[in-house]
Amino acid sequence: MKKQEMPSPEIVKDIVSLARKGDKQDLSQLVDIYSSRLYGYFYRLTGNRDEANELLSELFLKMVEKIGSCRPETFEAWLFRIASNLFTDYLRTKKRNQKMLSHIEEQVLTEAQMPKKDNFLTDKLARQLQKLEPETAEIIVMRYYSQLSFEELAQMRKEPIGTVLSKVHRGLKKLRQLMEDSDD
Amino acid sequence: MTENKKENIDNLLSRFYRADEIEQIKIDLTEADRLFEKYPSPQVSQEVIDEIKSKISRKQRRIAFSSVLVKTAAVAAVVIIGAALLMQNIKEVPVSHSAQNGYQAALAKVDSNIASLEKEIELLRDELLAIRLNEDDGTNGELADAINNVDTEIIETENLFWKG
Repeated sequence: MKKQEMPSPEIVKDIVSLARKGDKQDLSQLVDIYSSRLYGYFYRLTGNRDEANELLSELFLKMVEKIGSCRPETFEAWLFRIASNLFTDYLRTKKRNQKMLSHIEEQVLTEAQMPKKDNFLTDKLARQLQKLEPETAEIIVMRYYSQLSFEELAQMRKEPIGTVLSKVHRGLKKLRQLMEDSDD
Repeated sequence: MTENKKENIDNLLSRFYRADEIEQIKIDLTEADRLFEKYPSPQVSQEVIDEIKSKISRKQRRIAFSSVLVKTAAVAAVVIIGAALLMQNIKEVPVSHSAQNGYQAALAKVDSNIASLEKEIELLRDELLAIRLNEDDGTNGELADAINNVDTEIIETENLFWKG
């Protein structure tokens, strides 16, 4: 997959305006422009390629469904907000499934029988991010991949800008510490 | 990836932190960005992108189909409601005042004709009865003719009556 060059905000705005009218080419272009960053966002939070692929696919289908309700000038923030909501739903489902399974797993499965977690947490950063609170990890990853300003992040999360700033800063400090302390 | 952020981080931090803290926070933010660059996430595969695009095409077709369906249903509903309202109006169209008056006048005229014919029949019957009471056997010449005349007159009047 070739890395997509990020077009200027004006060009993105034009593409979004056409995509809102259902133009297939422009919708396709939006997928090309944003798939890399959004995949990074999902991959860093799930630590799993398959789950990241699934969430990415779900996200773009939601985008097609709801693009009529977004303003072209705030498209990026809008798209990442959908991504954030999808990740929250994913976490909720995962927690529910884990609760249901954990009891059975304890009783039935032995270590050898545990399902293989292919490509799960393949790098050091992914492993350390999983040690943070999901909300903290999400805001850090969101800041990096969305390229949104703190003000935009605060608007998206409906939180005061000072709160967002402090959450990001505290989270980053903890992440750095975890990375330094890690043996691998 | 940070160069795209359109904000003045110094201004922002100075609103919440002391001057000595600001430098450290800026270092932390830069370090975090470096960390993400040092451990880049894998790239999404072209197959996944193609699959997403084909799913989008399918979804668009579904959206277009349901939009046509909704529009058709809306038009059909409007036609049905319009037709129902039209039928109701036709049923409720009031007979105009002048037409109603004309109709009532015609009925009154027919009624008065019937009444006068009935009176005439009654008179003729009385006449016939009087003649019959006075006749001896009803066969003598003049009297029989008179009776026949009255009978014929009654029959004619009755015919007129039934013709209206």
